[in-house]
Amino acid sequence: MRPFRYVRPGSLAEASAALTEGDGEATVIAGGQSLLLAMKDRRARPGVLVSLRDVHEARGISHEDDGTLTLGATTTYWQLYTHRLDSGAHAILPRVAGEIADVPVRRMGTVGGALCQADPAFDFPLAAVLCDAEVELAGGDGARRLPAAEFLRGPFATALEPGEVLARIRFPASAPTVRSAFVKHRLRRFDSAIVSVGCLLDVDDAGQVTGASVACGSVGPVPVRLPAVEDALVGSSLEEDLADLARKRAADGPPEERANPMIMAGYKRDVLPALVGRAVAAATDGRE
Amino acid sequence: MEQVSVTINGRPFEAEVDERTLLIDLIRDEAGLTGTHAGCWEARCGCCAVLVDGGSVKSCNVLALQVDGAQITTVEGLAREELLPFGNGTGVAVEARGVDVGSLHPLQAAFREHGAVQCGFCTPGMLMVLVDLLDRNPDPSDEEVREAIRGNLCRCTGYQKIVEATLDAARRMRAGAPVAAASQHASIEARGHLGS
Repeated sequence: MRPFRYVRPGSLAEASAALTEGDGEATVIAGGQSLLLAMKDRRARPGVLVSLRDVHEARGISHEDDGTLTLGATTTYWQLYTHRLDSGAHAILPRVAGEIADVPVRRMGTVGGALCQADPAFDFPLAAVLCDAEVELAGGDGARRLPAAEFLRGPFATALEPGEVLARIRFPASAPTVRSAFVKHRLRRFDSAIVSVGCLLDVDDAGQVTGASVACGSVGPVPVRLPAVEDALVGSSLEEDLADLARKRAADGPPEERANPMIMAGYKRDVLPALVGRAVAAATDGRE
Repeated sequence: MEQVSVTINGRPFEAEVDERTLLIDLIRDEAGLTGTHAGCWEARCGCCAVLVDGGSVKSCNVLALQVDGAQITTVEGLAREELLPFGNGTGVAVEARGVDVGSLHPLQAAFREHGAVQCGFCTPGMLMVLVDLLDRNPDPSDEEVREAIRGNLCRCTGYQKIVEATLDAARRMRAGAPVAAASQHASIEARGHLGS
């Protein structure tokens, strides 16, 4: 690794100032699970590491009165996995966290780190897009918010401006009638996804689907929603074979909504509809 | 250079280190505790796993600075070390670090009895991850043990005996087998740079 200066700001403002002072040489470190791999390989050579460990504004999991779930960017996968979240769409988050890598990596890796790394195969960015989450970025000029889907610009590329720190991720309130499922296809248990699918279904007392969200990971430069599948599901009933419906719609969807994987394209396109079907099946059956 | 101050196996340890020092470097090279192994350097193999504030982490993928102030537990903290006579054929009395077999952690005892150790390279990392598991789940299923070690690679055993040993150790611990605190074990002073 290249030698660096290690800075421990106590607040977002100090962290942002340290990044700005670093003048392009400074990088944030949270859990370091992606960054250190890059530094050991010399793919990343920061001259200054700005630790978020003592930045209190980026810590913790909180529930607002309106039902919004706020995750501090330095929330580890382990903290998310062990947090009691069983209502509505939020219930998908511990499940996603529990499928990432392995326990020791989950104890250090953070949700903010996942979004900032923006690896197309990562699971937490998929969950953020699935749930219409919003990120809060703190910089020298103050804070700004934007949808996670806009924050993720491309493979390993985000909307972070120089001097900005990802501070929090907000998940909108979700009704208890929302069922969720997450399926992650990979060969070895600790691998990142070859193809992943998240599904949210809002089902009323009569068994009618009143809302649907379907998102896929590792099949494009960023996580993608499947509006054609979502439209087909809304208005349908649990008595229909929704998994089959979703699978067919994912396979026959318009070209602009088809997966555009960067690698293993043929295989991923073949496998995606089946996984969409499995995710919808799991959401309707209430099982994983 | 930066000052790092931690507790290792219950004893305070301080060092002034290059900022790039990984936790595994601090443990092996600064503190002289070579039970923690470097297998891949890229957080894949799990041989480097230690406990930081009770939770397992891969020490090859954490800067020592990140865990400044933390309580570290290594494999040496699981049993009581002692200096044992080491016969090297020269007739000169030599002692080497060994272990009081009677003080082995139930996981270590079970690993020995079940043949879960072959070359031993993955073993420390396996043990620390499994200590983490049993700490939060004292009655794991076969599947839960396999899930827990999914970040630990073993080239020798095929994992089966590791799983059986873990289930047996968990049984013994539920039945009250003693597990002493790390600080009771670190009877041999962690030493400075190797060769110094």
